[in-house]
Formats: sequence, C-alpha cells, structure tokens
Amino acid sequence: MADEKLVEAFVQQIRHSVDHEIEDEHIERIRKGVDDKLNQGAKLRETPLANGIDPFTVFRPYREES
Amino acid sequence: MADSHYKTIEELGRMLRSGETTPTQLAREALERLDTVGRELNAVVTLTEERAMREAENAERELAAGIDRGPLHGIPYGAKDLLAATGYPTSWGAAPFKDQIFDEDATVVRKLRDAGAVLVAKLAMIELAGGAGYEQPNASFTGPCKVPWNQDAWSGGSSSGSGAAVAAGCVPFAIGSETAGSIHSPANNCGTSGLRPTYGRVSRSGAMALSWTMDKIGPLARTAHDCGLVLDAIAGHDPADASSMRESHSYPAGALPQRPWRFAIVDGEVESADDDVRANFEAAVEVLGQFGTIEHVELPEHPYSEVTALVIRAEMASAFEDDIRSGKLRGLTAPEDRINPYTALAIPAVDYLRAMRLRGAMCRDIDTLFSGYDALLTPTMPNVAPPIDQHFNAFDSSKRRRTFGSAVNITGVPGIAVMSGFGERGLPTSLCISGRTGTENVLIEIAKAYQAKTDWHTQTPAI
Repeated sequence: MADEKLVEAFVQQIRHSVDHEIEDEHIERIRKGVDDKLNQGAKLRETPLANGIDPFTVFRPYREES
Repeated sequence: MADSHYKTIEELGRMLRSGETTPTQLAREALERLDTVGRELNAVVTLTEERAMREAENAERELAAGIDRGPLHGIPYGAKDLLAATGYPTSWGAAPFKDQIFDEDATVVRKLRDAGAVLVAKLAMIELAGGAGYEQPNASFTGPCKVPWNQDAWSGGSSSGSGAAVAAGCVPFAIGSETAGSIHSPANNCGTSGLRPTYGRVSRSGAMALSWTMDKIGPLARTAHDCGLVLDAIAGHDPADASSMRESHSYPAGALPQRPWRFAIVDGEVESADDDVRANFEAAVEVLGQFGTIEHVELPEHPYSEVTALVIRAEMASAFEDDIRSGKLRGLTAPEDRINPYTALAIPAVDYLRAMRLRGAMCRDIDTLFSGYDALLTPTMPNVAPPIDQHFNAFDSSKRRRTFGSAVNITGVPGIAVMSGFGERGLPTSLCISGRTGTENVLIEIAKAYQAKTDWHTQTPAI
C-alpha cells in the first residue's frame, strides 16, 4: 500500500488535469489504480541502478533515408 | 470447386496453381464464411468485399498471365482492425473510433497486397488492444469473441477475431499484434499457430500504437510453416518505422542449427499451469525430446511484470493522452476501460525511465540465458480459454506465475505457439517455443518438426 497522502495527491492531479468531471463513483477505482502504479514504481526502486545506466532506447539524430 | 475451409496456405497455393480453384473463388468462400460463421463468433468488424474482389480479380489475371507473386498470391486473409486499410474504417476495436478512416494502407497491408494476398476482412479485437486494462471478455464494441471449439469460451485477446477466424476456417491466415500476449492468447484459446516476431521485425507503420517500444505484428495460421510464409512477406525495414530492423529476413531460411536441438523448460511456468495444460505440455515435450536434449532453467531475477506494466501504461497514456483528457475513452465498452486509463496519467516520468533503464539488464540477461539453447519451452498460457461471460478474476483468482510472458515481451524476443491438445471443456491447449532475438526461422523449424509428429493442428471444430 502506497502512502495515502501521495495517492490522494495523484488522484487530485488526475481530477484537475482532465477536461471533464470525473464522477465520485469512479474515484475509488482510480485511487486503487494509482496505488497499484505507485507500488509498481516502488518495486522498481528495489533494484539499484548506477548513474551511468541509460534507458534502453537510443536517440539517433535524424537524417532522411535516400 | 473444392472446399477451401481449413486448407493451409500451402495447400491452397497448390489448388490455385493446378486450376482446382481461383483467387476469386477463394475470396467468395472466405467472405461467405466470415459473414456467417465469423459474425456468429463476433470475429468480424468489417468485410472488405469490394477491395477483396478487386484484389482477387487482379491476382487471377496475373496468374493467368504467368505472373506469380509467390506463396501468398491469391490467398485470402483477415487483418486485426488496428491495421489501416484504405476504403474501410479502422476501429481499433473501440466504439469512440469505429468510424475513423485512414488514407493509406498500413505497411503490413501494403506488403501483403504486393505479395498477392487478398484482404477479405478487418477482424475483431479488444478495444485499444487491451491498453485500457480490460478485465473481462466483453471489451470490444463488436462483443466478446467466441472460441470455435466451444462458443461459451472467449477467443482470447487482444487479437480475438484473428484467432477465431483462422480456427473457424474463415481464412487460412490472419494478422494480429502483440504487446504482451495478444497473439499468443488467441492462438492458445483457439488452437491456431501464432508467431510473435522479434520486436522490429515487422513495421508498425499504420498500426495503432499502444506501446511503441513493445508492439509487435505477426501472423496466426494453421501451421508453423504458414506463419513462416506470412512473416517472409511482411518482414523488413521500413523507413516509416524507425524501430524496424535493418537486418533482412527470409523464409525458408538458409543454414539453421542442426539436430539434435537444445531445449530448456522454464521452471515455474509448468508447475503453475492447470493439470490439463501441464499434461499436454509434458506430452509435447516428449515429442520434442525425439529431436534434442531437454534441460531445465530458471529465469534471471528481475521485476519483469512490474516493468512491463509500467512501460505499457506510460506509453499508452502518452499515445492516448488527448483522448483520456478529453473524456473520449469514456465511450469504451468495458466499464473498467473507461476509468483505468486515468490512472496512467499519474505515472511519474522517473518511474518510466527507471523501467526503461532496468530493461537493459533484462535484455542482456535474457539473451545470455537464451543463447545456450535453440529454444525455451513453456505452456503458452497456464489455462484453456476462460468462459465468455465471466470476469477474469472469477475464472482464475489464483496468483499465477506469468513472469515468462512479461519477460519475453519486454525484451522483444520471438516465440511461436502451436496447439498441443485438448483440455477441459473441449478447449485447446498450446505449447510455446521461444528463442533468442532474430531466431524466428529456428523456432518455426522446431514447431514444424513438432507438427510433423502430431496432428493437433489438423483438427477442426464442428462449426
């Protein structure tokens, strides 16, 4: 279970970042979804990462193929 | 004219060239069966009749003139409705997008047209390829897609119609896509062969993007050989897709590893499967044991499932951000799909980037493990198809081990699923043969050897 205040902060962020009203009846599902996502993030942080480990995608400057 | 249902691409090719049938005849038969059996199964979104007859007539004229485009010339097929095809809507399986039209074919559709194949239908799929986190079969505006073997069961997802249409003899092959199981799930549930190519092997241009670092496009067909024929036509670099591989691919291949092959069973995957699935897997392994050695391995320890879930959700939220914020996705079919996408807006960028940094170690460790073997063996899914009218959790509330499916998808390695028998409720079970990056032809050869010794792939449902 992620920190309740953090979950609530994200729920409020979602509520205020969409262009429409989210009904109260849906908030509990959103709260659970946010909790799941935060727990997934916490699980990832259990594996230490050295400073020099890049994301596994490579940026390539663009040049159109001829 | 001979009945074309349940014939393989290879068999239909022989019939076409011997004059036993024609491309227009095959197209008409496919259209008729899709319109009846296919619709009964909820496998069809749109019949592309006008285009099909045009392409079939062209294929017929060419064959008569001695122009032969290869094994797919004159062969009808269906495409998952996330692939753009001019002249018809591309719905992404989702009610809010059901009327959208693209003015260019997806690269895969264009390549198949160039190979002489005939597009007869856009096939049903889970809305947004499952990216909204569906939890039940009824998550498509065309309704839950049924298994031809038992219509009380769900055909799998997200390439639901692709699996059902092939298994029901509507088309000899169909194109599906997989981000995390969407080709192998319907192949398992419907008992077809299903090939998930290496990430980047097939261009994604013109396909709906769910997760641009994980989406793969591949064939479902009756046999492993047919999957190879289709992959040969659709593989290759595409300037329109920067992630497409530059290495060429062709099938049949030249030099391949010779028997005896080296196989390994992934520990944990078999033990967590249902009894019927496990029994059929063990029988399949016994068959493969005739061709090589069999060892046991463990997956290197990594948070595969968590990384996979985060990458898909974060990329999905970005791909559909405008639609989430505007409320457009509130028109999706499954109630949970209307709400789940909101939560993906709250994934911190550092979590996504951490997942992508962990992904590198996963890719290296999986490659090291796989490099010791020609193929790794697992059941494709731990269970047969779930009931069509139940929430997934009601069917299977246990904490199954599904790590391997996440591991192979997050690392982008290929795998082929082939039917391995029947399990409970008369439903198919499936064997999954996975390999190192770029080894599709090896996996196809192994699957062909298995299918040469078994007849599961030749059986047909009473429909």
